[in-house]
Amino acid sequence: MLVLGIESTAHTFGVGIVTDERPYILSNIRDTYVPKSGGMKPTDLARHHATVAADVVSQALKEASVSIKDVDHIAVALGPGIGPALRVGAVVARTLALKFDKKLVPVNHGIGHIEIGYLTTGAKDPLILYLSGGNTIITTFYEGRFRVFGETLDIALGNLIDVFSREVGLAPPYVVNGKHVIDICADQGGKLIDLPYVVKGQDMSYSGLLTASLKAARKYDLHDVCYSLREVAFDMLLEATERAIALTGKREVMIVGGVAASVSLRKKLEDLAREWDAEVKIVPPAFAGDNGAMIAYAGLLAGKHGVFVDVENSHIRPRWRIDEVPIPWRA
Amino acid sequence: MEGLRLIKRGAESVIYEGYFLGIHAIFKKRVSKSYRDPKLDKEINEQRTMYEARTIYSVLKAGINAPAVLFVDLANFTIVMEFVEGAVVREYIDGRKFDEKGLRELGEKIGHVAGKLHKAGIAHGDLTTNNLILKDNGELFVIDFGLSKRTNDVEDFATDVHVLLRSLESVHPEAKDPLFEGFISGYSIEIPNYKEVIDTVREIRMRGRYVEERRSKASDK
Repeated sequence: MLVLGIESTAHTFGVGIVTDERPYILSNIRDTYVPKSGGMKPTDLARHHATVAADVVSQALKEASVSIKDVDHIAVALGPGIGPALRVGAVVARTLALKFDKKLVPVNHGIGHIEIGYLTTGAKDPLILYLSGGNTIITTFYEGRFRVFGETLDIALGNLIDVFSREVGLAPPYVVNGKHVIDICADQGGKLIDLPYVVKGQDMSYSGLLTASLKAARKYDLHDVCYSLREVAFDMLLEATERAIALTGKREVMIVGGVAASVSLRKKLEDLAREWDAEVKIVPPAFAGDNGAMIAYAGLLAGKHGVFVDVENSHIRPRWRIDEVPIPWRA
Repeated sequence: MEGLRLIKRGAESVIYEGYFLGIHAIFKKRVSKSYRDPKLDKEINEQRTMYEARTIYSVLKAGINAPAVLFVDLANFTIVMEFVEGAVVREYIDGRKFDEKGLRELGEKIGHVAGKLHKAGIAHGDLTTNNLILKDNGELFVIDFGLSKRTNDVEDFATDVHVLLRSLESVHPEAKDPLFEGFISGYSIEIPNYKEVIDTVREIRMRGRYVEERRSKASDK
């Protein structure tokens, strides 16, 4: 079985093609929009995606050495994400489905990150940290759904770090030689400045930390602010993670999403896991950020269980939570 | 800490059972985290040890069941407190020891206790089924006040209710409805303006990311 998957929830337009046997992933092409300054405007995102879409689709087919006729299903990330960006992916998917008479598989973007994590790390029964620019979620699979143990109550960890880096002039680019600029800056600091540490039960709140850090950046050495921000932000997440490990007794911790690439976070998590005799499994960099292969792969699993949507009902779902998605393929 | 028996390793502390001046006691020692900056680690552990001891005192004064504090060793982040015989509510629910009526009654008990705490101006900070002990005689004890605070802010009370609801949803999805219905009926007896608290709970949940209800217009379709 061959599935073509389309990702367009945020800054990346990606297309991946997967099959249900080794090596599973036949191609994974993406084009990511990076604004020259400031944040991302939804309309600019949509324009970017619409401009690159056709090329990305044909490159993905070419690299997988398959024809669109060989593809069984079209999978598309219908949410969660930014409306105008989502719509581009949805339109491309609907067009392919209608023109080539393929069934359409609706995929939740977060489930895509999680499933590609299972596939690439070999995790069996993990506690899952889904960390990206838009999400900070601690979850695990239980009785048909991914249950959310804890999450951010406002902005995501990745968003906190990116916005801070940008506002104090460290970014763009956000990542230099595989390291986030906040880490490069923090490694030269070491004095802890008092910043708000907000854990509510198993949830975290990062928006106050962002405001306080931006204020602190005007008063203290920037390296120390970077260090303090990183320590407080990560330690909040680690504390909530540790509670979830204690609560669930899981022996694997799987990290998925764009923030999974962070070296300093990895070190902290490994220290934490050692104390609990657990193993840290991190999605490889190629599948950490948003990509089409993860949508195709989650679509392959869903399609095998008859999860399809008619084109006329294939609405985008900008606020589609992962715990709303039935997961029939994990009984 | 000789002569003590390790009984539980929690996320932030280690619990030992033993005797303190002849009294059956538990020794709760907060542990340092190797992943945490040492200064931040000390601040967090010291502050929470102190808050917990102080809060337990206020909780007992308000007539709510909690283990009495026998001794505090701040330098070692340790509190010695009375041993409470029983099992945490989570284990009771997991053991399917209750039918729907039993779950509703249990929820009601939890509602009364949470309401009494809030009435006394105390937010627990981590009100989950792991932090409630049910004794065989049916008395409900509240434990683990490390994240608690003195407050009269509806937001803090609503956060308690939200955390409880979240713990029911993620750990006991099948038991959530009767438990929470019971909770509301117990809570509303203690807190006359409980509707304001429940509205704030909804507000807090709406602030979460990707909450479908938050979208009031259907323009995204």
